[in-house]
Amino acid sequence: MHIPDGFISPTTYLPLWGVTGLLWYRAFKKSTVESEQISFLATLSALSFVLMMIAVPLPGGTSAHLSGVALIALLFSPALAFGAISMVIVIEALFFGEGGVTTMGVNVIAIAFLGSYSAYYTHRFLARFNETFALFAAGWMGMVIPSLFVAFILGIQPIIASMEGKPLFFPFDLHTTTLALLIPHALLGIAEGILTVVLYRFLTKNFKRVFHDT
Amino acid sequence: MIHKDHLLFGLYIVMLVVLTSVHRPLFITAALLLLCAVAAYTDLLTLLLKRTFKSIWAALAVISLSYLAMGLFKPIDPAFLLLLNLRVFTLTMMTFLMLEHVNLFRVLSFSKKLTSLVTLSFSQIHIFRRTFVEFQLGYASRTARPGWRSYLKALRATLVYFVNKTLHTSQEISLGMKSRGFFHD
Repeated sequence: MHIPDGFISPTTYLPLWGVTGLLWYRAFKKSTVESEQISFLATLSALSFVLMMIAVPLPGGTSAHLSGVALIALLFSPALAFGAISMVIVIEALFFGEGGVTTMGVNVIAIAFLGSYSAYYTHRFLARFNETFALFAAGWMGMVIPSLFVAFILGIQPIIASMEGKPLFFPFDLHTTTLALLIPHALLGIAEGILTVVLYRFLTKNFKRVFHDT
Repeated sequence: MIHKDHLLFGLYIVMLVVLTSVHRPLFITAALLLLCAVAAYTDLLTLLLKRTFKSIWAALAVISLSYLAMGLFKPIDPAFLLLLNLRVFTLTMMTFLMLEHVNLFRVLSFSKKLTSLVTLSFSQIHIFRRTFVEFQLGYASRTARPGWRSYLKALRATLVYFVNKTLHTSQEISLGMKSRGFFHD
């Protein structure tokens, strides 16, 4: 879902860099970052990175990558998930050259912020009815909400960045981008939801002391 | 103190904005040629061209072919494809060139906490990634007929290892940092 450089206009990415900066500043100010938190956030980023590397086998011999956003947000907290996944996106973009630097703000807001908080609040809202469904829905939402945001950002490019009716950046309209991103991510979200249920249960059972104390 | 890395990184950010603000293919081509010249001067041209192509060909192919397919139903501007492909290629190559010449840890050195966070995350991501690949290779070599059951079993075992590693490594690192007087808390 990462957007490479060159697909979105400065009128989009510059304000989104600003919003990302504000979100980081707020998160940084809210938590007094001390020694243990720095090392924990660093290793949690590495764990998030590993979760994103997990390939889910799909029918037909293909595979897709897990996002792991919901799992991190539910196991630790949405704020920690936001910090850790942001770090992964920044390192991927700035150190590995994957995912785009101009689009870093979009990717951070979509995957790290919206993904973590939508998964967390979906689970919090639905857990009172059915825990298993809440976990599944959290995994699904953690995949679908970011894709909707990315679809929106890409889809508005022909409206806000065109010259004489001709596109300058991403050429497809909102309708096309929404369908193109929503359908595959809604399907992938099913696999993500199932794995969130299985892995969350397994990890909270095996690390009872750690996750029930937090 | 402002270092060469700060200046180069600043120039890189300015050029990102410039290259996405100018929509003339000729200007972007000139920028690409300049990048190629710098890369050739530092013996990196072939490597960077290969790396750039490998990194973006799939995304560009999907977008370009979809745009051409859209042309079957409504009028399109073929010059747009040139602009988009040229711009994405130039920006990506510029990023890879920057990565070869700029020490990003030094760029972030204005904040001690930020530098330590990025350095630790970067090193841990490297270690975790290498270990995860080893797990994957181990699973592939031991599983003749991979199925969902064996996949989930292997995945759960892998995650127990990594969650354990996350919790313990962070404690080890923080104790190490404290013992070396890194923090004053």
